[in-house]
Amino acid sequence: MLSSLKFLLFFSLIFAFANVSLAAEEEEKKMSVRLGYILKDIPYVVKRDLQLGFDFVTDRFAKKYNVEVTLHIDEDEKKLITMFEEEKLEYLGLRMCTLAKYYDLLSSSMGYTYLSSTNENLQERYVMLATSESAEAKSYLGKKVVMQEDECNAIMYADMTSIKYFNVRYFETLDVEYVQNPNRAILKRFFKQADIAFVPEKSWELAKSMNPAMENNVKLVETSPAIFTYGIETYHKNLPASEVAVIKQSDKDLQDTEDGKQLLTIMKIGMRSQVQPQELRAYIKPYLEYQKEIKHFAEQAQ
Amino acid sequence: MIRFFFKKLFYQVYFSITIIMVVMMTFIGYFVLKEQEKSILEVMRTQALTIAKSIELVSADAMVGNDQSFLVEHNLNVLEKSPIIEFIVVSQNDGESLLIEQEHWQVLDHLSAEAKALEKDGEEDSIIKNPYDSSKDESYYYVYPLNFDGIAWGWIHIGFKLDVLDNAYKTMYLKMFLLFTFVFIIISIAIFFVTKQIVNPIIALSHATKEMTRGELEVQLISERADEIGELTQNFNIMAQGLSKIQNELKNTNAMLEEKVALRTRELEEINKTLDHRVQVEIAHRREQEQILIQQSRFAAMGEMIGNIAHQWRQPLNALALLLQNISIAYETGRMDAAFISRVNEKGLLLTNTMSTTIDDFRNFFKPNREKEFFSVDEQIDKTLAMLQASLDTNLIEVKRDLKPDLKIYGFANEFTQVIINILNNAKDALIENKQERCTICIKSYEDSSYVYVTILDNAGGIDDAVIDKIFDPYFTTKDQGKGTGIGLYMSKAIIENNIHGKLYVKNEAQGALFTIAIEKNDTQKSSFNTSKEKK
Repeated sequence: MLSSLKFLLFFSLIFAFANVSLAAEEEEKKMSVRLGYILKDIPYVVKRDLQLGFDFVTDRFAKKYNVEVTLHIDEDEKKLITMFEEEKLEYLGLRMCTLAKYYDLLSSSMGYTYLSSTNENLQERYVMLATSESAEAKSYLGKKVVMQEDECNAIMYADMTSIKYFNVRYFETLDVEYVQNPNRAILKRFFKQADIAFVPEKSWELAKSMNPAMENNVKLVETSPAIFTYGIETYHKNLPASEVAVIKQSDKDLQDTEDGKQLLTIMKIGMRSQVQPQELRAYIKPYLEYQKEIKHFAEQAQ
Repeated sequence: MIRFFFKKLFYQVYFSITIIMVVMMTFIGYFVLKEQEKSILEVMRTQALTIAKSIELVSADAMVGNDQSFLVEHNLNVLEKSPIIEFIVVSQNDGESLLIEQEHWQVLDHLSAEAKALEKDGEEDSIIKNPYDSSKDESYYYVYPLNFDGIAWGWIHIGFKLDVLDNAYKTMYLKMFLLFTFVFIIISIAIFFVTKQIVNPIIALSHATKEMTRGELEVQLISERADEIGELTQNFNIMAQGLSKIQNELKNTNAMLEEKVALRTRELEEINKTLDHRVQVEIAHRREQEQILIQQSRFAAMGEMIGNIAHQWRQPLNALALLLQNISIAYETGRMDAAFISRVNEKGLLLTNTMSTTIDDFRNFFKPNREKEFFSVDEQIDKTLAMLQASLDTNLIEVKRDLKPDLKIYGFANEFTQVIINILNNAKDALIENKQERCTICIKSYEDSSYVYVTILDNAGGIDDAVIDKIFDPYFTTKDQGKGTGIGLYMSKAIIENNIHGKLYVKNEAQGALFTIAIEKNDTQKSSFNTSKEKK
């Protein structure tokens, strides 16, 4: 999930290096690129260095190669997706869970697309942590839950668990508290400020390594199936082929130049790979199923 | 090698200044380092205080609300951003403590005694061994109290890695060392040039003086300096010029002197060639002068003798005059008969014989001796006294004689008599001048194994000590002008010492002057004296 919006960096890199070629070929024509980011889809660790990364792009590359970069960050995901559809944005960065919500709409507009991640761990599991007194999930009905805010994967897991055991949506049966990061959620569980925590499995492993006494007070109740947590960076399919070619070349240069590596480090991007838009269905299958499930649950409720 | 260096002024000055500089820099460096260490510790303390206040500020709500998860998370973030922090402990009074380390944290039931001891009234710091991990070394340990609304909530303990402090020290030491080395090099170079500036003129002066000692007085030094060294150089130049001038003058003078010496040498050589002749001439001249003196002395003596003859003749002449009167009276009275005439004739002849004898005596005195002979001292003195008796009697001078009989002297009798006359006349004149109540002259003769002695002692009071050493000098006299010639005693000493091989000397006795004539005996006299003494 953290890697989902590495596209910011990625995009910056592309344009930075694209400018090298574009500047040479079209010195007189100033290229304009509009970037769109959904706020909640920007990982927490990236948000902290977002300004630094953007300054890096504009100072090092945009000015140097005469590129005008415009950044659009908005909480309203639907608004940004509409802008992308209407070609008011050349670029859109979002998470897989968001893509899954709007896949039917977006798939027809997506062109050149990357998957990005903060590390090489391509799939992620989520765990349900509870008190050590009880090991059964169904005993936590009405208990206080803590999760990272805007963590769609944890929410999806909590929702599906609630539906599975209590046959109600999570927010209807649990007292939910959102925190900034999963570590905080685990700590709240440890210090008995919450009864249940839904967090990524790797966060739980990290917490245990930092304090082995964790397991004395915290019980792992369940673990979710593995799901992909890539970030999606996509260009509109109507971009001119020449610009796409430059982007491809720049993407290659990004891996090989010092400035490119520095930008990758700032934005905490561990890996990037190109993917065809139609191939994304396989990656977002659990999300699509979840969307289908809650849609079905809503229909039943009506 | 070291001695060689320290014999050179340049090295003495250079190394002295350098050593002083190094010592000063070492002292300064030492105190600066100490101050820097304090400053680093102060910076560390300030940094710890800032972090503690930051934690307090951010975590105040969590602490009051007992949100330990926030405390752990926040302090983990603090540790992540501050690698120099080894651990943070949030210690709640009467509660649990949270130990947060880099990538590790735990709940502590209680703090170690060492850490707890630092929780006093306010912030404290110390360097102690990490109380939470025995495998780690010492840490800079800082404790900060947490108070909310006047209520003591607890404490923040922050442990800093000491290697940070050590690195700061090492960096500081390295910088100080580099600075010291840089400054040392710069100052050494500066000292080198300053020393050169100071010493070079002195060395130049030394070389110049060496050249001067070799006689190169024309040497001149160039100095544009206006300080004492410049003044010294100028003075040296002036001195060298002066010496050079003096040397030239000396050379000229020397040349002149050499010319003069050569001239004098030539003159001396000329003189030497005629020296023998001159000496002979001078000796002859001296002899002539001496003969003149002797002659003068004789004439003076003759004058004296004539006076004495006059005194001697006065009485017989009076007697003759009375005898002639008696003849006249006898004729008038008729008493002139044959017996009377015979008696008068006898008396007249006696008187004329006496007068004739007197003449003979004086004539004998002035008759020069042809050769040396033995003569009797007492007889010769008696004869002399006889010649002087009338004069002595006239002046009421009593002569006491104590003459040993049969004492003989080998020499010229007349010259001996002349000496006695001179001494007696001087005694008479002194007695007359000093007007003694009873004038006496004592004449004594005696002998020992080697000498025959004749002493003449008067009672005229003696000779003034100031002139007693001069009375034998020629032409020296204490008598009034016209009365003395100053040659009597000179000739007397010359006669005794040169012609009779004796000695004449004088000294003052209590009553007057004592003249002593010591005549060396010949071998026969000496043996005779010894024999007679043995017989006795």
